[in-house]
Amino acid sequence: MRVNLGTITKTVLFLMYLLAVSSVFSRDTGSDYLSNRFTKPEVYSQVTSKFDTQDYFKVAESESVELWVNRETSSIRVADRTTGYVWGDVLESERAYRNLNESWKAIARSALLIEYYNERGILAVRGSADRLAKRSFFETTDGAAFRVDFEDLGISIGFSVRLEDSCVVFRLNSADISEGSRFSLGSIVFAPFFASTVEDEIDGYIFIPDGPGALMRFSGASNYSNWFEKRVYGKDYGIENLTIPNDLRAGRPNDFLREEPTVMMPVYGVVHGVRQNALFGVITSGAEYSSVFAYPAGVLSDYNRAGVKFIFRQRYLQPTSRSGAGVQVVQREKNDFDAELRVFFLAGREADYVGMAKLYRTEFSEELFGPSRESEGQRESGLPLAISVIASDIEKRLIGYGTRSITTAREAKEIVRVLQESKVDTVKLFVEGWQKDGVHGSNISKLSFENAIGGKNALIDLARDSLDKGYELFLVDNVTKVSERQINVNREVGINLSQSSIFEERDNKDLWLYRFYYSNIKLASRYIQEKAVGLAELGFSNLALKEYGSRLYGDMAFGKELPRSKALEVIEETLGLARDSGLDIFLFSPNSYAWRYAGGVMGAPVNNSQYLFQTDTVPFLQIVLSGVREHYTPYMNNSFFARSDVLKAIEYGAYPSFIVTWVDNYVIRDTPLWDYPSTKFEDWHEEIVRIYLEMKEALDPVIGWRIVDREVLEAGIVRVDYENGRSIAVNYTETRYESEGIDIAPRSWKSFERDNADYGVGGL
Amino acid sequence: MKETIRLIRIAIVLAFSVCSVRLLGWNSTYLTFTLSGNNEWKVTQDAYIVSEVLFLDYDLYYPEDIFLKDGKLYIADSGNARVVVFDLETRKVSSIGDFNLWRPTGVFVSDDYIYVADPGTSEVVLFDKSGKEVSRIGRPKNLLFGEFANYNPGKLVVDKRGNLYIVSEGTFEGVIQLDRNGDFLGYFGANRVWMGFLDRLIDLFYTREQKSRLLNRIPKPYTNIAIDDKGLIYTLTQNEWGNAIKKHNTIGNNILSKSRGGRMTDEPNFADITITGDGRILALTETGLIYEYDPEGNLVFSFGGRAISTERYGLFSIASGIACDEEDRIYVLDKESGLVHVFNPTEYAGILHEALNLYVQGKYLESKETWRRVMTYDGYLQIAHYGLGKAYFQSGEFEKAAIHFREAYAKREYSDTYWELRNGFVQRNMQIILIALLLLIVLSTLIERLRRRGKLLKLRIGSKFLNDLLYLKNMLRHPLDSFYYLQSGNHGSILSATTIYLLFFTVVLFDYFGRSFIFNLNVADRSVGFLLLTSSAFTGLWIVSNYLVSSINDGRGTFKDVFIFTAYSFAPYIIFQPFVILLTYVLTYNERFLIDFLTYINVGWSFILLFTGVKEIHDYDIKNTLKSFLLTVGWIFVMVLVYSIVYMLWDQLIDTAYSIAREAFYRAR
Repeated sequence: MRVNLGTITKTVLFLMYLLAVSSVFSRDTGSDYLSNRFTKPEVYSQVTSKFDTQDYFKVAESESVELWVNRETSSIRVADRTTGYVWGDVLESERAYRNLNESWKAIARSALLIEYYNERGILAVRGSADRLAKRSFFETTDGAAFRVDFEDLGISIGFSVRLEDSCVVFRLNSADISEGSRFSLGSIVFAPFFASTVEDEIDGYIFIPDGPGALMRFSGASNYSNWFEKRVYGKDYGIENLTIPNDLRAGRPNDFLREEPTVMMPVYGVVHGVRQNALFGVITSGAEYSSVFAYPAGVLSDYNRAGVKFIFRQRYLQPTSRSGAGVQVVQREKNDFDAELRVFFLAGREADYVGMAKLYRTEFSEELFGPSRESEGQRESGLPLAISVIASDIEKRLIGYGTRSITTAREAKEIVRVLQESKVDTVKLFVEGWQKDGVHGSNISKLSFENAIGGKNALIDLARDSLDKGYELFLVDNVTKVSERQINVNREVGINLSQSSIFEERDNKDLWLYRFYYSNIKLASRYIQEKAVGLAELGFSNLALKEYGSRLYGDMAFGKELPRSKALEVIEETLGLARDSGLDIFLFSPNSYAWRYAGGVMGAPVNNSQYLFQTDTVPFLQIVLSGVREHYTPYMNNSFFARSDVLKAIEYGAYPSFIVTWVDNYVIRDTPLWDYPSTKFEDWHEEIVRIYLEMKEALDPVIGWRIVDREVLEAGIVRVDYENGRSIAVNYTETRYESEGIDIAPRSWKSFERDNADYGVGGL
Repeated sequence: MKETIRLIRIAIVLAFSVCSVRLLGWNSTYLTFTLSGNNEWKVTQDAYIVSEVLFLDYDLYYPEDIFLKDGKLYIADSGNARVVVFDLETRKVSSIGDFNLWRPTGVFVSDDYIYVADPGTSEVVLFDKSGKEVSRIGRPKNLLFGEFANYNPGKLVVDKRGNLYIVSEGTFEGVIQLDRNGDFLGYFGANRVWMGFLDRLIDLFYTREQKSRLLNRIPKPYTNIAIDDKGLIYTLTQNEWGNAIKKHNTIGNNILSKSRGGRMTDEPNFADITITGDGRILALTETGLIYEYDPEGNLVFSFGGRAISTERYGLFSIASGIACDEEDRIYVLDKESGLVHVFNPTEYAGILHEALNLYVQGKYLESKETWRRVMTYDGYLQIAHYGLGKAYFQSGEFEKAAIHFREAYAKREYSDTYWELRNGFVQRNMQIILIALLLLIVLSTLIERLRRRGKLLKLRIGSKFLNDLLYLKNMLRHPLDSFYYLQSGNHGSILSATTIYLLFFTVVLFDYFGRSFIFNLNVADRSVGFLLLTSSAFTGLWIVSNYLVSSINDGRGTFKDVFIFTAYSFAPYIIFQPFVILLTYVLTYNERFLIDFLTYINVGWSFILLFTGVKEIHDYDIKNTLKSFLLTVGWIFVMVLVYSIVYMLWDQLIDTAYSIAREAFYRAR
């Protein structure tokens, strides 16, 4: 009978899958909305767990969750009491498991995976279930503690798994690691195969916080040569190689890659059956030393799996020649931190990425947005438009350099006037390059003003004008990623572990400035504090910081090391102080730790990294920020002005943002701003107003409200629900969409009042 | 140890590496480049973005070619020995030629048949649209084709009459042209053999026998082939710069003028080429770069990239094929991963294509508004400035046309515009010009008369320095006497000579940087410092070498003499070249010979003076002067050589010391 049921379910599933596939692909191949920059519709097929708790020992239980441990292997299973769904790692009977080699068979059933280096710096892996590892197990009041001795390696590790309300907490204290002399610990992963699936045996996906958020739907094994693995809060410039080998073997400049979006939030998730079962992991300690990984089936094994790696040591390049060539060596000192991962279990309606985002923003509200919820109280009156103007920059002259005025304070005023006359009521004016010598020439250590744009008085006048005319003025500063003309390269630049200065180069020597340095984080922070105080005294009320909130790196100068974790503290302290000096701080693409200090988020990413195995982009970030922090699109006049881009901005609830100059494009050809193809305000004026007014009409009714649900109705049709009862549906396709009372023109959107809270919920 | 070596190797690879950029657009993983004014590469807005990647769950194995016809993609799935057909409408996949093909590497589809080039069996296999094999075209039997000629069809196209154009692996004689029955019609448009300087030198000395034995001068074989809607054939050749792409007329000659002149912006590793419906050329490098050209071969966009450790949308491991549909979507095949990436044109590319189409049809006036829209998306585009310039020229707005031609660095067109402007100016101001000319003539005759009568006040200059400086003009009329007086010490001093050198460098600077746009020499964007350094270095080297050479060759001149006479030898250049520079602001491209001619005269005259100077100052006869002159030049060459060798060694030394210090520092820590 059971067999029969299984077959029937499978047949139904298969039919539903076929139906889904045909509905997804009924339209033209090669449409933009079929790419992984958009979200695909869900199948909602029923999923049952392949695991049970036989041979496992219950160590803790709460109202909703039971924690089970296998004493032999340290394998972990979690049973969801509300749904009965059992989460586990692998089944020994499945083919995918039998295809693993002995070492990986052990890892698959381990509660802990370690990566270690031998004395020659070669990396190997071992699981806590390995036959060479000695395990001891202690029961505690709310879970279990383990000690694993890898005797042949001389490495011994103690860690715990416990239950706290509905979440399972993995923790490894730095003090519980002991090492011998020959082998050193590289990194650890808790329960590496937990929640893994074999190829496409069930419907579901892995959620990774890549850019705004990305999904990797479970699929058959493919021959990818990479997997997803990214450092939380971006690369650690203090240790990581900033270069990847690339050669186009072409006469053209070699730089061809855009920077990939980073992981801004320390989270990940796995969904087994959309809106049925999901787990959501949040790193609550050691995030700055962790990376989020996700393997699609076919890479290393036939399992789709995801998790968090805590990094204690890594390899870095020790250059031995001036050209930068050198050897890869292993970090000597261990990173000092405690690793803690909290895994939440979601069921039913909440078991998808929307549910995860909602859980994240409520459970971690204080960590993310600070204790007071004052921002929630005040709702914006209308959609703001962020207009960034570049005031000045250095310019290459026939002899030496000069400073080119690009938009004077008076012209900036004129830009706002023109916009306000065109019915743009809420303007936020961001001025870049107001400092002496402009964007790429200003000395970062001093508060200075460029005379060519009118000097200090003109800017103060602009600030007054902003109060009179009812717009907001933000001065933009960047003390983090700078050109050599902005700092003293011997004294103010950050130093990495190999004791060289931290810089990034574009492989394009046609550019005037192709090398950018990362400044010493302590000095940079001091400069921000000083400038914040100075600006506040002059009567400015807003400051926007580029790069500062999004780059996290320590300073490894020998003898006065400032590790990444301490750098994070310095940054938080600085932002706090700057805010306390009376300024409203806006940050460009900030990591989650900086949100609580930010009044708004500029340049929130809208796409994932577009790896082939990533199937969807989802606005996880935007859902978390919605209603709490205003967030803006990347500069729309730089390749984000197409119809589908405007629709996406509306769908994500992102506020429009543009970068403009007063002068014509070719006037700034000798400045480092050459890379901006098109910024002339006059050229963009009408387009800006047109896009703004359309977005205003769409977003005004939901401004300041949180997103509570999002659903892809069919390929290219998305509906987003807000907590105030309004919804916005967007149609990216070329055909009219008509269903259940919604009627949306092609490549258009519709805002409407929901009939009931559960409107249009598909599936189960 | 081995490990260390391996790590060093990795590190060396890293040294030749690149980092990515946080820049602008957000929909593509790669940057899109275009050419701006002075043929400089520049990042522009996204022109194409990848919408979908096809065949993710279908195993293509080393596919070699892709062809699109009537909404169907045909892929030569080489590793699986079949042709895969993908219907873009229904997304159904079918295959053709399983068990009939060996190693298909080229596919072409006409209205009736599917042609597959299979170098594995050395045949072209024809299938009908249902996938049934129709016939096989093997090696031509014709005597003309010869018994030993290569016949390994790798790629092919078929024209409207059913003639086959086959690129055969290892065939250097050109494209093999067969008629519909497979009879050999001849070779089509072979590449030319490029003869370098060394080749020509060898030609002089080798005997015919040696040449036939030692030299292997065969033209490069074609890599790939395409055909446009008009039936014109395009070919690709690898390892060529400036003429990798050729467009052939019916007798096989290259009719793409940019490529014929070797001036095309291309790459030596193009793997495939296709032509869009409106005649634009799309070429693909093995490293995954896509180059789009307008029908005249001007580069429009370059985008895409290589997938190294990043398998992402729009990046390729080994790109092998490119196709394009009528909606301007581009399909690019990755051989290594067996995937097809679909690139959709953005609104920006769409408008640019619209403008190009108008331009190509000669509708310059109609294209004006479209070009202006293009310019709002990128204000630097060379191609847009050029198009806009043409449009303004056509509508008689010469001032605006001049601005845009200047931005496009189109000197010839700018010159034509300038001619119109000058013409207009002259016509408007004819009266004033005539009056001014008349006045000038009257004035000069007046002065002449006064001078003859001796009534004109003769200016007496007391300062020796000024007199020495003004002595420069005597060099023009009486060079021999003047050199004599210079040496005897009656005229000239270190101070005056130094001043003259400064004057000389100033004129050089103005000559290089200060000419009008049409005649500007500074095409390579050199800096003032660079020019000063090179010109003063060579002058200094000349002075030192000439002194050294003459002092061992019984020359009479002292170092001071050499210093002074060299300065005075520049007299014609210093005095007359400023007028030439001014003239560049009046003349147009057609009158170019005048500028060149006058410059040659000034420079030549200076050289003659220099030569005379050597003779007079050192008191040489002609033979010895020549000897001294050549020896000096030889010396300069030797000094430059020695300097560069020392510099390189020094650099190496510092490098070594640095490495040791780094290593020691690391170990000691």
